[in-house]
Amino acid sequence: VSDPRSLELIRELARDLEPVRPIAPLLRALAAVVLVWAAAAAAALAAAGVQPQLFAGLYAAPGVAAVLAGLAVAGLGGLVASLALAVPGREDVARGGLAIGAAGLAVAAGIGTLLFATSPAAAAISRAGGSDHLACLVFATAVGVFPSAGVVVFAARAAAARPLVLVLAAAAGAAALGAVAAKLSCARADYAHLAVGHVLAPAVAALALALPLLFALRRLQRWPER
Amino acid sequence: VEAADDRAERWRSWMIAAQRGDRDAYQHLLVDLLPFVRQMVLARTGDGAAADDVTQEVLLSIHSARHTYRPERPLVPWVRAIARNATFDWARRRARRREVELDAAAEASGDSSPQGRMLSRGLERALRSLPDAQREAVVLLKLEGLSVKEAAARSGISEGAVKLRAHRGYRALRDLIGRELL
Repeated sequence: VSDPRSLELIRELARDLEPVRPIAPLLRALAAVVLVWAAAAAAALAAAGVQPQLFAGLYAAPGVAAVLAGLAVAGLGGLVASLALAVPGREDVARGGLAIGAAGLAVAAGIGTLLFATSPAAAAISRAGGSDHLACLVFATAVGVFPSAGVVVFAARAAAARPLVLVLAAAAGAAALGAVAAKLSCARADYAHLAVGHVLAPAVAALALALPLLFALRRLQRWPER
Repeated sequence: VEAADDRAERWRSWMIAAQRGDRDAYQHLLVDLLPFVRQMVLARTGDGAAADDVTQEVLLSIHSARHTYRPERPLVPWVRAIARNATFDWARRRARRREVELDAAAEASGDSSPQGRMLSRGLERALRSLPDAQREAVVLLKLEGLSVKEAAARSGISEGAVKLRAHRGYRALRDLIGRELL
């Protein structure tokens, strides 16, 4: 027998029903977020300049290309996961995105560490360069702010069930893609910089952006009722 | 016995109609979903009274998240996910209840100890941080002790809207108070 309070609640909910527009499909949302990333990366590269020797460098060191590919996979996986976490019933997609993102990050970190550990000292650390590391970390994080904010806007309109995981995945994923873009303008060819300035970027961005993004998500979720 | 596929397809078509504003289809859908949801919730809570409460939360969540259903997707996994999330929230709240009860006890006893004052301020801060509409519903129902009907009349909104706002307010308060206690 159904609880009479539930039946009463159903009558009230039905009485107050208003038409709603379904949220965008995940693929379209992902395309929009990737476009935002591309625009942010293009603007940042226009400001910072593109490294002219980039492709020659990648050809000479295929390990670096593999690290960047791992970061790109991690980025897409994180963004897919964060978008899917905002939609009930898409947990399988979210889990898949998290798994792919983690795998991409593991590849990037593994190969980055291997390159650093097995290379001659001169190639591993060509010169000290804390400011270069910091510049690439800031570049990656700054480029990552915009797509992760896009994810938060989508999630606020949807129904985020695990907001902390969602913002961590969004920030790490967006910054992983940002780290790939940062490499396009980065003049450093040593493996120490690759590891510190690029592979670490998702973790740094997740730490730096998670709380502001969580705060923004909570505010945006409440906004329509104000 | 009706095939599960037919039932799922009927629910899906009702949901699509509900998204367009069809109140009859929505009421049919929720009434039809009620035993399905309650059975799922009961299997996880193992407690009839809790299952009724959580089922109502699921209905409210379905209502507030109905725009997240995509018409080309099956409805049942969407409903299951909402029910599962509501049950997880219930389990988390139950685990936290002891701490929140300490908070309430400190409030009720006018506890003047530093911990009591801290908890009172925490509750006050949490209430202040709610959106106006939610805070009004919580204050009218819980602090002023009005019925849903009286609160609706006072606010000039429907009873359903009062319940919905109060539900969201309670949930936000639980999160905020839980965070204060951590």
